[in-house]
Amino acid sequence: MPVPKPMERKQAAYSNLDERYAIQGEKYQGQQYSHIYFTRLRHMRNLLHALVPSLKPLLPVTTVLGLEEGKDCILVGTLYKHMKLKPSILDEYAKERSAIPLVKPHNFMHPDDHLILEDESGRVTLAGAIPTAAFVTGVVVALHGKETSAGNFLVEDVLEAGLPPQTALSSAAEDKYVVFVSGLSVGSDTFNPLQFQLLIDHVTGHLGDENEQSIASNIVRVVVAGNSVHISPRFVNGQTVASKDQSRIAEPIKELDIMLTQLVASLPVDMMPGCHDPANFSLPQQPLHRCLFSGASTYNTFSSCSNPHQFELDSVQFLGTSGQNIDDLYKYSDAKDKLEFMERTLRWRHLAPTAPNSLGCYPYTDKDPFLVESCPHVYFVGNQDKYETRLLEGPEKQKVRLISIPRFSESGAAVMQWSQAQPNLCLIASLQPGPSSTISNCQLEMLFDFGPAGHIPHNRNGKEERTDEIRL
Amino acid sequence: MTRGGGGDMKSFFRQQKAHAGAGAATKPTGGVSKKAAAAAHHHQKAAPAVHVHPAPDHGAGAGADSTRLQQEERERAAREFDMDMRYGPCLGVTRAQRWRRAAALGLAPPPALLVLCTDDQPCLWEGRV
Repeated sequence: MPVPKPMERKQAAYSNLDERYAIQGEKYQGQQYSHIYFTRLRHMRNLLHALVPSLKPLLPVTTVLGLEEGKDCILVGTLYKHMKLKPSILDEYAKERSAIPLVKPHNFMHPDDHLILEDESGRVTLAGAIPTAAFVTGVVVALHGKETSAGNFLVEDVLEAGLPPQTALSSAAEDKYVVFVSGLSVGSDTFNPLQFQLLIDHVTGHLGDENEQSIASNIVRVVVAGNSVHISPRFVNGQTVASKDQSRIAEPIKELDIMLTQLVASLPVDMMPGCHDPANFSLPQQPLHRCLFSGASTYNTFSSCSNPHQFELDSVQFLGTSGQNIDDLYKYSDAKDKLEFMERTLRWRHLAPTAPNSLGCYPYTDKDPFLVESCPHVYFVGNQDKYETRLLEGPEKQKVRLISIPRFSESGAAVMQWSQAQPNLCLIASLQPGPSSTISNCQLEMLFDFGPAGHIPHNRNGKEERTDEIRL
Repeated sequence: MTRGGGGDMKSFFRQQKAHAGAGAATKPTGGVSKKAAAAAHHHQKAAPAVHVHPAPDHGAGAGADSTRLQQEERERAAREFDMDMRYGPCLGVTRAQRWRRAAALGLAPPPALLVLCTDDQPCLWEGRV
């Protein structure tokens, strides 16, 4: 019998670019959030002032206080969206409570919402050709228009900063994959350990025949994008926990650690915190502590990362979050899908524009770390409802692969991204344990394979057919 | 830069304190509340109490007048730096940090002001607002 030749896992040069999200060096002096808004406005205003002359050459740029009625000009400032349904702490103290619904809606939009532009000198209400549903508080834009006699600013055109510049990708010879998974929710009711074990076995190469193993040997990294544990709410609602229950609080984390140790023994893993993980609440969430992962942190392939997370693999830039920024945009604005929110954050050059307003954020005094200075090649967001992907192209030949990662505990799907010369290629592996129980093959359902020529689904053998399903 | 009125920030603010020392000396309640606030906030140091009353502290001696005038001048310049809108909000950061932030953002604050801002000296309104 021929001896199977051992397959070696590919390696990729990794560098972690998370220093800008570290809060370790910051000292809280009692400051408020005005400083973040100031640095954001200052930074974006420099960018917009550089862009405006090429788009609208002859118009003067003024401040809000320097507006003259009827004169065409350009204003640069931060948007504030006045929302009727936005929950306010003062509603609890309002005398008439009948108008306020007790059940909070998921989306706080209302037809009466209006936008206001604010800079250091003043505010002005906006009217005209600006789509209120598309913008949120905290976005810095340039507006072309004129002041009306009613004191509003009638907008003719909106200028966003657009996609930031991107370093060009060098072409590479070999395929390498990155696996993104999020929403494992170990410890919740929807968690199925068999599914997670199947994923681990597939990624570590313990499943499948040579074909599947060769795919698995091309995986260079696994990124876990948040919500890996789910601690039962009855332990964290402020009531004292009985001593017999105390050991059960940490059970989900221990279980996660055991399973991660298998993964980490085989390939590098980046662990990001999410909104349900034991990390700080406000963005940027700091890396989960090593003591939580007593088994996995002994390996040098385990790296605990911040949320948002930025890294580089073989000169491909990755940037992503665990979903809080996009979920917040979803509550306060409207778009046809989550990818459009992601696209907007790139065009506004800011990962989380709602950050101090409705999303928890650290009150920085001298920087805003969520500003996107260079365009990533892959932009991912975790803990979304479904898998979606698109290739976004910018005016200066930027190409960004946008990926929305579904929650693993609900969908059983992880995303494999081909991270090399053609970042437009994206496979999704859906690992579902089937009804029959022979444990010889895995079910690897390749749903889509976006080749450069378009959406031609073909399987690994190059034939143009949907899939080869081998049931487990 | 194309900001209209960038040169006369002072015209935004009509109040101009010509005699900062006298102004501080006639507001004893301001000093007391600052001290109380300084005791309450464990972040705050004793510095705020010191900078509100520069005149009484340095008032002894024959040459006291000229030093007092210099002190008042410096106080006034520091307070104008606090109130200058170009450099952003002043509350919550010390003057030296604000100056450094302004320099890092490319606003070119005058270097003479950095000499005035000793480290850990917060702005005019710290503890009062």
